[in-house]
Amino acid sequence: MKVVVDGTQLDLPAGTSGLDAVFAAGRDVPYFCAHPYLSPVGACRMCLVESGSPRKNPDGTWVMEGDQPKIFWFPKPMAACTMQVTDGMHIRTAKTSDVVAKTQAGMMEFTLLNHPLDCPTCDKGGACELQDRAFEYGYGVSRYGFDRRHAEKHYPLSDFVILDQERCIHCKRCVRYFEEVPGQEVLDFIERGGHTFIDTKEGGLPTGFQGNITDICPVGALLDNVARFQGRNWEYDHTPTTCTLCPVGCAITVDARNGRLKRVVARENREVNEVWICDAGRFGHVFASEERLIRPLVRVNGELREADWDAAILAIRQGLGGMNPADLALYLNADSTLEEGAALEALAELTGTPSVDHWPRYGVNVEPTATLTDVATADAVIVLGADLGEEAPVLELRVLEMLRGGILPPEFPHGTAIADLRLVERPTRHPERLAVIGGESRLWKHAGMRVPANGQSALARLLRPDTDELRAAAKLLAEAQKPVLILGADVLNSAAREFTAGLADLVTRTGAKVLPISAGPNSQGLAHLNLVPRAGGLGYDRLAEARAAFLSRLDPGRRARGFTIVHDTHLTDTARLADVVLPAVTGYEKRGTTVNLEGRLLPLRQAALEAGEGADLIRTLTALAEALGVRPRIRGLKSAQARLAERLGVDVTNLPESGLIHPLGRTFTAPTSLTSTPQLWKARMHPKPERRGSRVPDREGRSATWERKGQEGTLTVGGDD
Amino acid sequence: MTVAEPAPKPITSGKDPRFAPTLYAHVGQPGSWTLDFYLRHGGYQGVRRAFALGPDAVIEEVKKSGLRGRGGAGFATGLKWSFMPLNDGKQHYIICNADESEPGSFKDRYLLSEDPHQLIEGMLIGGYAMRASVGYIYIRGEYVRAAERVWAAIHEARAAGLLGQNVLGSGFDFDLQVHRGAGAYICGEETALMNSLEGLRANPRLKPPFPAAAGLYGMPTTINNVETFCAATQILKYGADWHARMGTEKSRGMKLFQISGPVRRPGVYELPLGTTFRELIFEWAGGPLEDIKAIIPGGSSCPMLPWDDKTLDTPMDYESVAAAGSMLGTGGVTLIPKADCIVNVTWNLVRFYAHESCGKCTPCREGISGWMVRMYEKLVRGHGQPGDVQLILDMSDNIGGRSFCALADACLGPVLSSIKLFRKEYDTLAQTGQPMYPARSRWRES
Repeated sequence: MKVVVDGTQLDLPAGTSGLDAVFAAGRDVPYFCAHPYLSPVGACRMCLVESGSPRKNPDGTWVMEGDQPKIFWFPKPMAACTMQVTDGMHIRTAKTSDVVAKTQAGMMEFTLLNHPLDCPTCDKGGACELQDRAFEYGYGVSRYGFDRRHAEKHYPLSDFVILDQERCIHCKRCVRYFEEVPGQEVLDFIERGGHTFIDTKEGGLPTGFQGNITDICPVGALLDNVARFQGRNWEYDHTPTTCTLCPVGCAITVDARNGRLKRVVARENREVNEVWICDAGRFGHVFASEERLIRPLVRVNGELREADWDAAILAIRQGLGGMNPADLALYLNADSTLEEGAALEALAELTGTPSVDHWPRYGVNVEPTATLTDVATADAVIVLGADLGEEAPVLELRVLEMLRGGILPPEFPHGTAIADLRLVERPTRHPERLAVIGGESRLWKHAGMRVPANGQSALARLLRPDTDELRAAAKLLAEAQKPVLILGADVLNSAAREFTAGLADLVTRTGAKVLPISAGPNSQGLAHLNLVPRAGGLGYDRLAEARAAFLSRLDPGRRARGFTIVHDTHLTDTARLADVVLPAVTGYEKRGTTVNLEGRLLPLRQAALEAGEGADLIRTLTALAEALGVRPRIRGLKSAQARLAERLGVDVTNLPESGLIHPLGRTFTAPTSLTSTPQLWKARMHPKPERRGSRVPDREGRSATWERKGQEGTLTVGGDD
Repeated sequence: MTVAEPAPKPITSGKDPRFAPTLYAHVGQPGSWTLDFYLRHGGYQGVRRAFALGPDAVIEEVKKSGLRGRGGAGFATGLKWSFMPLNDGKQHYIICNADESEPGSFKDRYLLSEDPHQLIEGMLIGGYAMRASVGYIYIRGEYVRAAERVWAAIHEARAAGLLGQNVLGSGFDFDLQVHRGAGAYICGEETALMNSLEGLRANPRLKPPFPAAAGLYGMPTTINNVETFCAATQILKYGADWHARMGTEKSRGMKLFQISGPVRRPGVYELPLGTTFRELIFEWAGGPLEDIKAIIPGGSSCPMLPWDDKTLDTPMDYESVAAAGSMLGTGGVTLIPKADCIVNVTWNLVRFYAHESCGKCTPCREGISGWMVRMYEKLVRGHGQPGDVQLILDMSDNIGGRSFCALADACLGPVLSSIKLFRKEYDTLAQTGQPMYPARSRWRES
């Protein structure tokens, strides 16, 4: 379709909104209520543009003006976000139309009418859509000579999200987000006209995905309470990276200030998390900046004492004194990067130890074939034995996206379509497309078919349906064109060969794609390296039998029979039992590559965090090798990446922004007697992430807890009692 | 050879001997709301004729009658009915908009409370023509008696087999539900009304999709005013030609006109379209009680017209009133006395719109509800400054045609017309702080 924006002719697909037409032409138009992943509503009226279309005569020919079709301009400006472009349409923006320029300036004046303009004390300042647009399109002064609206400025909607009702410009993004994305009707406008404000019912916001509203709020009305008043936007070091708390691998930006992690915000990755992240990923970062282990610890006279790395290496050499390096078992956490895994694999080859393992992992390996986009665009999803909230929260959002039709916004040169007219408010959901077989989880209330089942029985019951609901689920799977099976911890733990055979049979019969949720954030990647016990070796489940062991970021709560070295970020229960403790770094401070549950290679970048003498696994293993008196091939990131290129045939140094799905070759697996229970939520959100000494008013906004110089108390601010 | 008879002159006056009230024929008579009374006075004849004609012919009949929507916009009813998809297998709905909230309009109230069976019959006809099996009547919350009478009438009709399965043996199933509003003007906007009916916040919805494609609960829906459905009853009863004989070329039929303000006999008058303001005000309403300076011709959202011979001789039909610079709207004529300060009068109307703004879109929420109403208050309280009137005009320029629905434009009707007609009053008040016409008691000794 030919569309002309400010004289620039474009060829756009049918169904494009006027807003995207303007951006596709390289022009700009201000907008607040439109959002790429939310339905267009046309409420803020900022994107008004002049538009006109040619008309046809009754005989089907165009009404001409000279040699061009005559453009019939609409008598009034139209909201570009809700206007679908038509063939031959002309659009004028503020650049070429004085009417549009005045309209937008006038609308900006209205928008700012009751906005407090407290930018100097607002966390959004410097990264605020309203601030930017006011500079670009506003009058610069207001002619409003009356008192502004006064409302609650510190109104906690929940423990994590705080609302400033004065700053709200009523764009309704947050209301639409809850209704359309997690499918929760919790937030709405109350009152009407100039008194309109957003609020939730008693009890706050539902946990899970509430933090996303702080990202999409175009002003500083909804703020992340964990990060509130921690810094200004220009003071933060922004590091675009990947979240390593669960196997989804959401794109995030880590904001650090003075070497401390202050805030995590979502970044767009259309293939993985769109623009949403879970609350654990957003608020559960506090561990990375509190009570960190910053120096090595060495056990002297039965007590762990701070030491430097040289002393620690010496202590290891003495502790292992005379032992065969092959007797040192090497275990690492499955949130380690591919590079770290390669370094450990290389060291194990060098020392010849058969006792190598990564944890968590499952005893079987079911090859994944479904991507997250496959889940979102499937016509049937069956979830077997998974609690997505604990295992892979954002996968739950993609399943919910499937339920509302799996509409993925189109992509333009300017990015994801800003106003996708196929998205509607209160979309029709299709619960009949979702079956959940397993334990009760948050997904239950969205599912058309719910079958309680434990462990392996989930698949067995689906294979031999014996109730109406199971038969309905089996029928759904059989009749669907693009079905996806999601497998969770409950079925993958202690899964045996017959499970894989039964699954393979089901997949062949139904043409379903399978998406097993990896046990750990990078289990999917580490499975392609030989990081499982070799013949005669001790798996992680047999740690207690090991003559000596090195554990990287694992916390089993017990030690090896002999000398135990723990490499961790915090003084964990296991670290307290260790002989030598080496400081590690978190996933926010690493460079490297992680592989998410769909097999997508995603880059990790190092945020500017203060980690003391903490070192990643590659450097730590180099030190360990020194203590063992061997010289490993991998001594840094570069050599690890070279080995990965050799081992897996993939160049991880130049991954695309959205990651790369690349076949990584054979997988290594081994049976294990341990079961892995993913506990993302429990681990990160209990106790509640909260900065010490931060002001957290109660729901009436009156009292605030405070802490200063060791005193604690409750301060009552302006209460009426 | 026969010579064609000249077409009879159209009826454009209530005094024309060929004209007799039909919509309001029963209003005021004892027991007019009962089924018994309605049947004794020729009730449910229209729907019987509709069943005999068939649904498509009913739409044709309504088209032929020239009936236009009586809720204010004046859209051709037959055309609107024909937008409903025919055999799409979906549930169709019809809705009666009885949320009569425009200041100056009070015609539907008496149709609902005094002649509810006329409305039920009209909705039966509409439902039959549009293949809808469920109809909703959305009644303004304040109309308690009307809602009770309509409910009672529905129960009577159900008991008599006029609603429910197989109405009058026609094979057509139809039932009605009454929903009472909770007091919001915005619920008169068709899509906001549907949201309210669904139990949601009454914000207007995005169009397209239009209600005929996806309305109530996402299903094809048509929404009409009470008077429109009642007119359909009369059209089916007396025939399209009977209806088309009344009124002007493009505005046909009879209309309920309401008159309020200082006149001798305020009230509702059923007159043919094309009757002049002069006839309504002087012949039917008995003339004004004091000097008048302006009239609002069709409910408060319609721009004011000056009180002069040109206005008084304007025929009350959609085209003539539009040509005079206003709208016929709902036909609610309000007279504005000369001795009242026009700024104060307009403030009263602006306050109403500011209070009723739903808050969805910026120009209405901030412009009308936040700013405009305060500018008026400032002027009326005598704190005006010289540039204030110009500021109101400039602000109106940024509001008019920029809002999501028509509510903000409705507020600008009285604002812009009053400034245009009585700029001197505004300027005097803004510059001196003293109104040309000081406030007086609102109560008149009769």
